[in-house]
Amino acid sequence: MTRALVIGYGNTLRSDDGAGPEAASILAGDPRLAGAEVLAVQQLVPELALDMSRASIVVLVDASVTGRPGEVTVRPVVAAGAGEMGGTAGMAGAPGPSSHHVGPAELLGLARELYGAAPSAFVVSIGAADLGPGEELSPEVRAALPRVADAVAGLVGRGEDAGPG
Amino acid sequence: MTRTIVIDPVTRIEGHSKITIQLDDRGEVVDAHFHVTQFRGFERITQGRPVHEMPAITARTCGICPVSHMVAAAKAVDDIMAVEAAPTGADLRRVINLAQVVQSHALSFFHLSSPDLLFGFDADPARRNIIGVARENPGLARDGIAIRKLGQQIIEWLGGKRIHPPWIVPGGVAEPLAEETRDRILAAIPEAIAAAQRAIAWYKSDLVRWEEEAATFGNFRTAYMGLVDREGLVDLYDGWLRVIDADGKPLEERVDPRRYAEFIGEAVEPWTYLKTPYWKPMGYPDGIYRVGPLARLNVAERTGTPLADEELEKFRWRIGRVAGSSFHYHYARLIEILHGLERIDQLLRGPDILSKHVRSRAEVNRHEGIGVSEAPRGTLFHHYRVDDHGIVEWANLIIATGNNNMAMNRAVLQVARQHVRGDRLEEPMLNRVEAVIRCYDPCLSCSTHALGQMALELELRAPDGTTLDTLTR
Amino acid sequence: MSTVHTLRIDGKDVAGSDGATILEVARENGIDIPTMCHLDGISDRGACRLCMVEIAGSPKLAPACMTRVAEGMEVTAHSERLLEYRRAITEMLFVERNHVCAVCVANNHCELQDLAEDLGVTHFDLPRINPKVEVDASHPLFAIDHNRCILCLRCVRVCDEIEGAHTWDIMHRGLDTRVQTDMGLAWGDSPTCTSCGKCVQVCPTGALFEKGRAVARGTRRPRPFLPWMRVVAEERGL
Repeated sequence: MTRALVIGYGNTLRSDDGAGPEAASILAGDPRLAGAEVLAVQQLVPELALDMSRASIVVLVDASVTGRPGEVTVRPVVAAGAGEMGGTAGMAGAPGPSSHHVGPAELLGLARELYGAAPSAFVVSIGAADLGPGEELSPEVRAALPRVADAVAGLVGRGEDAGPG
Repeated sequence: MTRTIVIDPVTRIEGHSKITIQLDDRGEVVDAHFHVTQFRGFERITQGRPVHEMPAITARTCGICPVSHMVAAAKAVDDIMAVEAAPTGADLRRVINLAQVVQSHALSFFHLSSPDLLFGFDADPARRNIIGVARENPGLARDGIAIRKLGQQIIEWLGGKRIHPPWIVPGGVAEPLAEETRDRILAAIPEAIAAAQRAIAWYKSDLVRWEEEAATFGNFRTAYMGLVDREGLVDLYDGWLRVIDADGKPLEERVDPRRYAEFIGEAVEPWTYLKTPYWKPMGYPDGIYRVGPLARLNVAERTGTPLADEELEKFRWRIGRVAGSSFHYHYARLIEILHGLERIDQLLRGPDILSKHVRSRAEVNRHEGIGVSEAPRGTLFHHYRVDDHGIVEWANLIIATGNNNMAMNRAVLQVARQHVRGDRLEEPMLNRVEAVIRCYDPCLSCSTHALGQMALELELRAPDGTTLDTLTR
Repeated sequence: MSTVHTLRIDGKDVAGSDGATILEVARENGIDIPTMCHLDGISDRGACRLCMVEIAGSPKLAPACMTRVAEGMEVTAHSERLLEYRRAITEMLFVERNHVCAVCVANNHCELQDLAEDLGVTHFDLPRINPKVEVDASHPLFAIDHNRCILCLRCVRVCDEIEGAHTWDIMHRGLDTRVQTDMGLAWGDSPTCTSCGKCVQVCPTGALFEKGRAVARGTRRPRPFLPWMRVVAEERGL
């Protein structure tokens, strides 16, 4: 049986940045993800590498500044090595991962380096409209949540068909 | 002509900050300021609220160490109710407070500072990060993750929630400890202790590389403050304030923390939202003191747990009875991790730890209450005044990082003097300025209540105030 | 001898005795209509407007808690329009005062919070008013935080109808409306309050609470709610 881990992350006090945690709370009750572990966290921290290492498929859900508001995109994560840091770290222009905020590629890299695990990993991103202070999602992002759930369920389901590995 | 260098924003710390470095006509560094540029104002927004809400509200000052705020706030409300927390409740508060210290120190040492220590301050930032550590020394990275995870888990198991557990309440804690939870924690402790010991062994073997660097790394004479118990041992939850001078001579052997205002003044500087506390008997700005892991080990006789005491002895043999360089905050943090784990183990083996009586109850019996505890970064003061009905009229918080404000400025100045050359900002200097601030592990979201991601701006200023150069991370 | 009326609610054939309200008959038949000011055992006020339903042939909406059933009535209790109204009402209940769940004594056992969740109210479009309102903690056992009051007036009714003290009432109008104790005396100075705590028990939010309760540590109230009150009320013919 495939062990799936879904991590929705973002700051719920920053409007659309809360899309990840909000998606996680919806996905936690989604029957298509029964048996999967679903986490909602404010930011990615190195400890999550340990959780990732125990999964066979990992789906990270995050708000993104690059897409159109409400646009849902899926991309595979490639594990970062020490020389390839920074591109997906939290801060624009940061030379490496900031404090305890690491990006998906770094986390996957940690899971590989530290625990010898290589789960397949994907990021489902939702284009943000507004990242100002606030606890509410914009209508575009809210409307995108069902599509996010479908995308995550699709990835996890596909992983199951393929079997562990 | 005086010129100023500004580092803005500082990375790998909590909160947002900016550093300006002032040059004189000859291009020599004359002053450096560590600015905290955001403001949240918890002392004001708590006015008018029932005092029983204070642990939950003040926990919101910080997502990193909410437990510390809840502990200090609950103690302040105990004081307002004029009760002692139920003994088992107090012990359980100690356990969660220690778990907070362990996880926060693990974050600071392993995730934030170990890349600098492993690769050197001038190594390529592309390698000088947590992934680089994972590749170079995976055991160290795994140990860091394991220790932090256990600290977080203890908080979650006890409090029911990892971030803002509503478990710490005035009078004690809300729910007794379940036997399974105790056993689960006890079972996990030995492995974490072994991990901490491995990290200490690695650090000690590495320390020799840094002896020269440490000499100018926030190395200066200050007083030190920390809580100690009746026997002068480290106490992270309660006890008396002990303050020593740079030579280890006690300035105050044992002060009831309720009298803090007689000894600690609070200066305000126009260039920062972080307040500047000082040791009143020495005046401002001479009354500079430090708090946090280094200060706690300097003021205490011992830690009171066997493995940590063995390490403390070696620490003192190597560095001296009073460690003056801010560099040694790292070492002190590791010893405190070990102490915290040992102490949690001791407390959980106490005969009454599973007692169902975990909370004392009382009405508002005093108009004023003060709660003081040791947060990961140092001594934390919560002081409230309430009306007859327990509504908060006034609150004063002195946060650990605030206590270190003057020392952080002094440390930045020292490093800048050592490493700033000419009127340009260069990487080695930037790296060291950041690293010296990171020694204090400043939690700026807490002490000024900044919201958002931490960042550093560095600015070099001419005598007339014009900006010569800026760097932003 | 009471007459029985047959009617339809949401397309379902139901029967209710003469004098029964649409709300009562709906609930007896497993049709849930959201309410906030209604509480079994005390009189109905029709104040919160959450239970508004459509009645065929009437251009106006009617409050289910105040409208008696009639023969042949065709009631719609759930429609897109009603849901939209109910969400708007819920939103207005929130924006009118200062509701901060995270530091509220009633967090996770609050009827207003539950209502918002049930109706899918996930955000506010209306601007918040953020009024500056008081906390009265002068009573030795209880306190009222007007920040969290939604003016359901359950406290006013339970105090009058069940306890018989009539300590609570309302004052002012519109946005300035407040529940008050004894014509505006501080609660602790009230000569009529018996300190029975019924008002605290019936409060749907964290507005009325036992002093000393920490955040999210308010009493978890069992549902269905205070069944004895219904018995008392029936005896009094309410």
